[in-house]
Amino acid sequence: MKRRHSLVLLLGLALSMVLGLASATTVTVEIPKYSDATKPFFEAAAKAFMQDHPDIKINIQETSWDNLHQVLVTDIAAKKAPDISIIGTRWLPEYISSDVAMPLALPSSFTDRFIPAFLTPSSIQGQLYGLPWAASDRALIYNKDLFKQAGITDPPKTWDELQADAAKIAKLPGRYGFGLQGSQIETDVYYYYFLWGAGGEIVGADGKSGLHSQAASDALTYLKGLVDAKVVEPNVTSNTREDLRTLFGQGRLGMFIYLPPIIGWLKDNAPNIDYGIAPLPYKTTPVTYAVTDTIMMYKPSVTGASDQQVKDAQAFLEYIFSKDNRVNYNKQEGFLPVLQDVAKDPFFTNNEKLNAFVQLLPNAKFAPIIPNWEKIAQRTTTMLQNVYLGKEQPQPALDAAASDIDAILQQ
Amino acid sequence: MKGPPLAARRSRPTATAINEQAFAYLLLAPAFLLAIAVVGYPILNTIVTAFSKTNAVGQLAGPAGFANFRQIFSDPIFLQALWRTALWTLWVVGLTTIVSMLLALILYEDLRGKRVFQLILLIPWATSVTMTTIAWMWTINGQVGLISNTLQVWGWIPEPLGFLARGPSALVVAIAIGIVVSIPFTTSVLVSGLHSIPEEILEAGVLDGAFGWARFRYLMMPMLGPFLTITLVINLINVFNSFPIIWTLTQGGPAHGTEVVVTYLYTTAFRFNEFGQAAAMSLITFIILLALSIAFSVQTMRTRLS
Repeated sequence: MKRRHSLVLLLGLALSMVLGLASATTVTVEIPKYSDATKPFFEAAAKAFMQDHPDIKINIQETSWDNLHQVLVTDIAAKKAPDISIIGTRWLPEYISSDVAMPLALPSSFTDRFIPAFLTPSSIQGQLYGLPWAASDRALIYNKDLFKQAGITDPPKTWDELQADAAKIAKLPGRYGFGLQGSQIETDVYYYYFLWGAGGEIVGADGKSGLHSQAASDALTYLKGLVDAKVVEPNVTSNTREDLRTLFGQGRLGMFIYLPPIIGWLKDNAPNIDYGIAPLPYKTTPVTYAVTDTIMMYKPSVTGASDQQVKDAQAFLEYIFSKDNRVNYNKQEGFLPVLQDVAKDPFFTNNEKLNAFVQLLPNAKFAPIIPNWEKIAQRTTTMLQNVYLGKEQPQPALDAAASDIDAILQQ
Repeated sequence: MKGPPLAARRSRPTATAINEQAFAYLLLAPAFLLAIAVVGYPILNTIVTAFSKTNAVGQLAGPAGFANFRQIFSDPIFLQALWRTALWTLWVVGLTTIVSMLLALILYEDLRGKRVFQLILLIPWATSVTMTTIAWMWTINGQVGLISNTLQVWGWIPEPLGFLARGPSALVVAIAIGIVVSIPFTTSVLVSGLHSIPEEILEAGVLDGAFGWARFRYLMMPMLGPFLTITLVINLINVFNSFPIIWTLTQGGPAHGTEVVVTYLYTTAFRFNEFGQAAAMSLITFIILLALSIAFSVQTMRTRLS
């Protein structure tokens, strides 16, 4: 008896699978892991979406940020690209020039909900190629207890104040004043905070490297001065952004620059640290660095998708930007809102710490969306590391890097 | 000697023998074709890519002649990486061989608890290289690492050590880890090599007064030749191509100070999207390793023939 039951069950299962394959389209979504909350969020959204659309199957694939670019490039080359993926916005120009990024045709009732500034990085020559996903900006994170011990009342607003305050904290035993990042991804960004703060640009209006400018020189001389004055942590060139976060979490670092997820991270890992969030100290120009990753769709030429599959993918894309989904997402991951209705949600207006980051957005700068961005970032990083290590003097190092970057910009 | 050459004097193979041989080849054919496909396709693909223009997502965009090769050989970072790869390989393989030889000689002796030592030796082999590297990275970390903190608590150093902050010291750390992970394999092969030496030879040597260094140099070393060659060739290829240790420690930084060919190749392909240049680099790696392997094999065959 039992056997026959299971046989019928098996046949039924096989039949439903065959029928299922015949009628359902599968939409593949490739996502990077921001935190442990990323995949559960997407899977819950996919499940809810599939309940409303039983004929669509959503397949969520997660990979690490480090591997994402490699995975996508390999899949694109094999014509097995996902229908939708999150990407680093800096990759978008390459995807457009290689003709794999799908221009998005979305109703204005949908696109009007976005905070306009966040749509600019993925709009290229008037065409929208993606939507902003994880938005963040940068702020100065400071340890209030160490400030008190060093006799500092307010967070520094200018470069001079930053150096003076860092020096006071560095006098406390076993404590470092200001965290300077000198290793791996975004080492260059830590310098851009100061380049922009002195009124400079990464790429000048003439299309040449911004490292030729006086601002570039001022910024690098200033940072090297902090290293020489030993008000930053020792061995700068071995510390990644996350190493600085660890030092701050241990209460050994007075200040450093980080992004909104620091709030959740400190709550989970170092709840006893009393900290404040302040704008980045500047010389002439107040600034923050804003970043959005982009969620985009691929052309059928690299996905092999049918027209129906493309429609279904777009339906899912619109669905995950529903207000409820986005509020949930931002709560779980700690990023900034990209939708105006989400920004008005009490969760953001009542959250003093997150609001401190939101307040900085009017001064936001985005990285230029140019091809070969990674080469420029690497060249700048190498220059910074050589200067921090004392292998090169700031001005000659800048001159050499600027001319190399000019050549990269010409490619 | 006069008369017909040796081969002609042998009896010709019979028809059944030929059939048997043909049948053997037939049986081998599927495996052989599979091997060609698995090994040959990537090599062919690399060669084609190395001589092509590529776009940002790795698709081919027309022939490029030798442009990719000209590009990488005019890149000082690549040339430095090539030189550093040679240093890195020689140091790791050289020191691994010396240390492993000593360990093998110790394990060859009748030692109490020899099996336990052999087992302990194998443990690092069973651990992933990345895991081993991460464990060492935390040990030597300047801020929270065991070594730096201990020395600071004892007051031996005024400020944290930054092994990974400078290229040369970071490379030394990488070499040390490279040696640690290469020892288990090398020692195991050499121990089996020592056990394969007939005991009569060593006993006869003892009667003739060959002890210690003489026994090692004139009796063991010549007999160990093939085993030593195997470990050298395999270690050479592995270390030359080794990616995880340096990538995990420094990603080739700071300021390209620990950049070797494979890490730079990865950066060139997957950060800079220069797939043609990356393919050219891997082709050069392939040629170097092929030449070294052939040289070693020829050397071994010659020694065996003489």
